[in-house]
Amino acid sequence: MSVIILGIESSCDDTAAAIVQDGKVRSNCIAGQEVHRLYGGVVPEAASRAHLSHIVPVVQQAMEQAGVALHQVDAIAFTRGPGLMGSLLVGVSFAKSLALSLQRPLIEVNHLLAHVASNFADPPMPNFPMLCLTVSGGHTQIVQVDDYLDMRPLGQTLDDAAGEAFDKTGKLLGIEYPSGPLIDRLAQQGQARFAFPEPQVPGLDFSFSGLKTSILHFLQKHTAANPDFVKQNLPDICASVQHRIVTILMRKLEMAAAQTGIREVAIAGGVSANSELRRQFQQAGQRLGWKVYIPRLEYCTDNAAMIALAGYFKYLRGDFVAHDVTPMARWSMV
Amino acid sequence: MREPLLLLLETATEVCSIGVARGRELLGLQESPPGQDHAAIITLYIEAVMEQAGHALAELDAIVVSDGPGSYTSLRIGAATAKGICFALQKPLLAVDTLQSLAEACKALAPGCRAYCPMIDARRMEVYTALFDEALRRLWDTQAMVLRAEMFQGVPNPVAICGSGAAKALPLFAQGGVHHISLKCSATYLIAQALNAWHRQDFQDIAYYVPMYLKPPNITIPKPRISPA
Ligand SMILES: Nc1ncnc2c1ncn2[C@@H]1O[C@H](COP(=O)(O)OP(=O)(O)OP(=O)(O)O)[C@@H](O)[C@H]1O
Repeated sequence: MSVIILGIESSCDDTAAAIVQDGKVRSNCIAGQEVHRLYGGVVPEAASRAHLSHIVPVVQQAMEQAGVALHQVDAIAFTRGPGLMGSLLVGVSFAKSLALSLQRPLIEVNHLLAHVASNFADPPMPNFPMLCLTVSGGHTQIVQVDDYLDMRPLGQTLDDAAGEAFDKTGKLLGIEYPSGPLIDRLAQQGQARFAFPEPQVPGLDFSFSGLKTSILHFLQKHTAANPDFVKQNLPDICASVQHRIVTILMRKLEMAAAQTGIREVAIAGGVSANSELRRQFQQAGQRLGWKVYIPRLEYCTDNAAMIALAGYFKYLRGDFVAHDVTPMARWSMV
Repeated sequence: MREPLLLLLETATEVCSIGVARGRELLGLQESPPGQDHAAIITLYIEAVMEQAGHALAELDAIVVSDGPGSYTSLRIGAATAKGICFALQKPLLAVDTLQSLAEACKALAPGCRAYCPMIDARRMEVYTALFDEALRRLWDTQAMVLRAEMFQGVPNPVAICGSGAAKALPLFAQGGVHHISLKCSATYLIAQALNAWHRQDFQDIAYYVPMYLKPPNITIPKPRISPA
């Protein structure tokens, strides 16, 4: 018998909806919000307002692209958190009233668990246990995955996320938000010839706030001597910063693999689009004999396919929530 | 013609008030004490009022929301909930002016006043308000206003004030001529305007409807810390 899940995601600035049928993504739609570019970051009230205007068209589009009618949907999965409270509330409220109207069960999904689940969208399916490095604008963590829904973080960032490190560097360099993609492109024309210190963080945790400060001091020092320093060296600066961020990530991931002995290794989240991270990840895989998994790009940045996928596995377990469920701005996956 | 069956969602303030009515007749009502989390209860209340009314959601003729002004977040919870039902069951959406609904309720309780001033609490000494004359014609547009003792200068009295912002306003009007009518937002008060909108077929666009925010989002633009390239 066929199972159809509608997934709804509204944790940050993108409103997204997707249909997953029997574990296969049938549609994956997203409405982004250009407004935040102007302000160099997400404005929570503006994001919440945009979600309310986007949610019906996006869900409708997901249904149409999948060729599925609402009455065929077996359950509604939604992002409960973590994320911006005002944003989450729109998706959660809409999901609940859809579920009530259609008399279907509701499935809560943790956004971070869903990032990992984006690795289950396409074959080959990973074997468990697996390690996943989740790197996005809001999160950076290494997760041990023992089953589709069974996972626990082994380490995470103590301050900024890796995507934030890209975005904050971009702000210092006058690159528009979100800066990660452009830094990536500029870096391809540059040399990583400026050295930034590696943070000393014990275990499998990360820290990026010291890097941000050292970049700021580096830029202040050089622009004092040469006001055109940034303009003249932009590709090299980008390559250097990117190199540092990626080596911080890879060193901890290799450490996690060595400690656990796990050789099924995946990446997920918006920053896994980064070409340098992908290159170093593939290289480490070859060097260390890992089987590596990288989700399709559209499942890396915020999307609802991953929510519907995680929802599908929860559906198989009968893991539903009652209607008194409310969003959780902070919600660790265990 | 049979009167319409309406689901009424009033979430402009800290009261979550959900009702169902056939024409003017209220068939079910659930109201939260203040301080309850709207998001936790709204669909449970909808289920409960439909059961009180003895109807299924599919039998509704329209969904009615309180349009605001009010708390942005709770207005959005009401609007997102309404959109889900409208979208799932192909029902029209009606939006009702929150302050006018309060003014109508206020006049029913204090019929002899010369003016009616509903107030919804905003931050600090600010309220969302509008002024209506004795026939409930609008004298002031809906606006965010900082409360001042002289705000009713030139307004015929007695003036009745009501709503979640009225209690903090009352001390300003010690000189008399201003009555405080104790009144909270309620789904019940949406019925009259909702029926008008229904008969005018004044339906909202389900996709693009937004509540009355009155103000743009509060945005501070950060300054770059070094001169950009
Ligand atoms: N090619 C790239 N190189 C580096 N960073 C990138 C690249 N592409 C996207 N990013 C970064 O990815 C982040 C966006 O990712 P994503 O959409 O997964 O995250 P989010 O919505 O900010 O956070 P979360 O998923 O934690 O809620 C941004 O910080 C962006 O700069």
